[in-house]
Amino acid sequence: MIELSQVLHEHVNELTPKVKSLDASNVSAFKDLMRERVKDKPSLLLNLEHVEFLDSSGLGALIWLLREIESQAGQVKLCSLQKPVLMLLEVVRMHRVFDIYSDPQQAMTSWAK
Amino acid sequence: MPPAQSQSAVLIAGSAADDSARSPQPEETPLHLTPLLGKTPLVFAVQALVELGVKRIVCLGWDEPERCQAQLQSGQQWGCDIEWHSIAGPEHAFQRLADLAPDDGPFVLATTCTLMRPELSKAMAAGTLFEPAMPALATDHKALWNWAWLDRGLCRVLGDQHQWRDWPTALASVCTESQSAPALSLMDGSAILAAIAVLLKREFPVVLDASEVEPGIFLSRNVVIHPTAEIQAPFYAGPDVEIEKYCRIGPAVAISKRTHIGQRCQITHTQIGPDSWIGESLDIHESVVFRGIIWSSKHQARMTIFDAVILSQGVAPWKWSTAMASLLERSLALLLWLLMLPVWVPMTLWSWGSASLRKPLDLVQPDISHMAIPTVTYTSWLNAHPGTRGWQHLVGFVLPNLGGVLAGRWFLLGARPRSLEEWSLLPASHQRWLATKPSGLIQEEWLLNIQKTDALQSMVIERYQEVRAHSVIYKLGLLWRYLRACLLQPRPVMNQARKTLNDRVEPSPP
Repeated sequence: MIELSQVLHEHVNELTPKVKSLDASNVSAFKDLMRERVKDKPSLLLNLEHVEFLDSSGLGALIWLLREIESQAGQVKLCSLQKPVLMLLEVVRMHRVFDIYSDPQQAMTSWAK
Repeated sequence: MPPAQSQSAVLIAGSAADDSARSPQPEETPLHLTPLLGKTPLVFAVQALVELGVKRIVCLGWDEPERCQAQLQSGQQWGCDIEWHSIAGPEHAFQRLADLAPDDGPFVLATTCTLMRPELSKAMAAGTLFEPAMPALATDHKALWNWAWLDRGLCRVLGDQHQWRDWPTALASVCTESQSAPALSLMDGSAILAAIAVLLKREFPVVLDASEVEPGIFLSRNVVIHPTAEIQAPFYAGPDVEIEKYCRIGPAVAISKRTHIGQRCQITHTQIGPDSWIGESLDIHESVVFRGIIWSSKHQARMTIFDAVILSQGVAPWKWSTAMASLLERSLALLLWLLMLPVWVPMTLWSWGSASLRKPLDLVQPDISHMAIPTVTYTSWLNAHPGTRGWQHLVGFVLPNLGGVLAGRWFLLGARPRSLEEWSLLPASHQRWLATKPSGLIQEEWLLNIQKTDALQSMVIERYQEVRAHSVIYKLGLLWRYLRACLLQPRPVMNQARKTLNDRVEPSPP
């Protein structure tokens, strides 16, 4: 079971999945949760501070999220990535696809610019 | 002080970076056993001591003594006598030193944390510290763990007043003279990466086990590089390395033996292998990669990736034999589908009617193109996924994806441990038994340190094994094991573990 906390800023929807691992065992539940929360909210900040491990299905979920949001002409940003997750994104070149910030404040500032 | 008479040395194997984020390999592999251009820092140190004229080396260590002894053996192959002494931990190193110090005169105290090449131009006196001749080569020469000439008396002072972790200050305090020598820090993962670049540029005098085919490009035997791959010096490839097309490798890359690099990879300032499979389109920079473990110098962090889709993307070259094997493979998949047809038809109808039963599972194939990152979508019934077991796996994952199996994706099947936790539950004897089987999952081989002389055993990635093993017998065996596991043994891994354990405890009569 995935717990997801949500903070609605003025224009940005900040979501924080409270799960250590985003992999094939819970990715469907993650997508179900996200599907409801990203509808009609084009700017999404995904805070991955609790996620320590991603596998390829977890990466698939991030790509799915990106496609969903960009189809609504929105933007996805990631923040507070743990080192192993950041390393994995870099190894598979997905750090070039996502905007990644060290903390939520920095990400919010980037939206304000 | 008396001149040096003996040709003895004490080599302390161990690094302060072991068990820390600065150690690039799994916890059970200390720095002195980390691959470095086809050897290890331990072997480099022994060779340097032999070149210095040392005939007898006493090795002192606490991490993986059996593996160290297996590498060094009696020392005959290096031209010296080596004896190994194990101690409980680094805190005992200096105390033990006084007991092990030869009583017939000064000896060289060496450490695997630093590679030095001192020259014996004159008789050395105890209390002489070797200082780096080329400070720029040492990452931080102030903290360099220098080698030195010591005697038993100085060792007692070290043991009484200092700790092994204070090596630089301890040695500096007991030594009164110094002599310069080429030095290279091997203290941690970052230092090892820096050392690779220095060694490949020939700025440090060591002999590499490879031919320099072009300036700065060292290749060992049986290296296969696709003509479209771009290699930049300095570069080293050990025996049996394969590099696929459109790769950009280098500078400062060392690839150890039996390593495969997939298509379109970009790799710089990295040490890879041995026995590693790198998937396609991966970016690896400033890292040490050992099988499924990636350590990044930039992040000073290590990550274990046991994801066959990311790690391996093997495509066998087209041949008649492989085409025929592929046809047979599909025939076997068809056989499986026919066997499962009585279940597949109602489940498919049910999944059409009930949206909650059917869920997509996207697995990513990494690629650089924005928004075109290809995903392979598998269907899951009953919340099954590649890691589930028994009936749930067969009905919930294999059955809805039988099309994939028909297309040759045999890695969808599997009846072996799929996580480190599951693996750790197995008895050691069963882990050993599994590791000798050709269809093993990667983690088993990582953890067992498979014999490097056996190429078959040391192949580490499930996909690679799947791609490689196109024999009908292998496929039939896989299908048979899978069906038997699902239909007859709901918990095949644990059942086999119990059986192996029982066999070990109560061996059957001849």
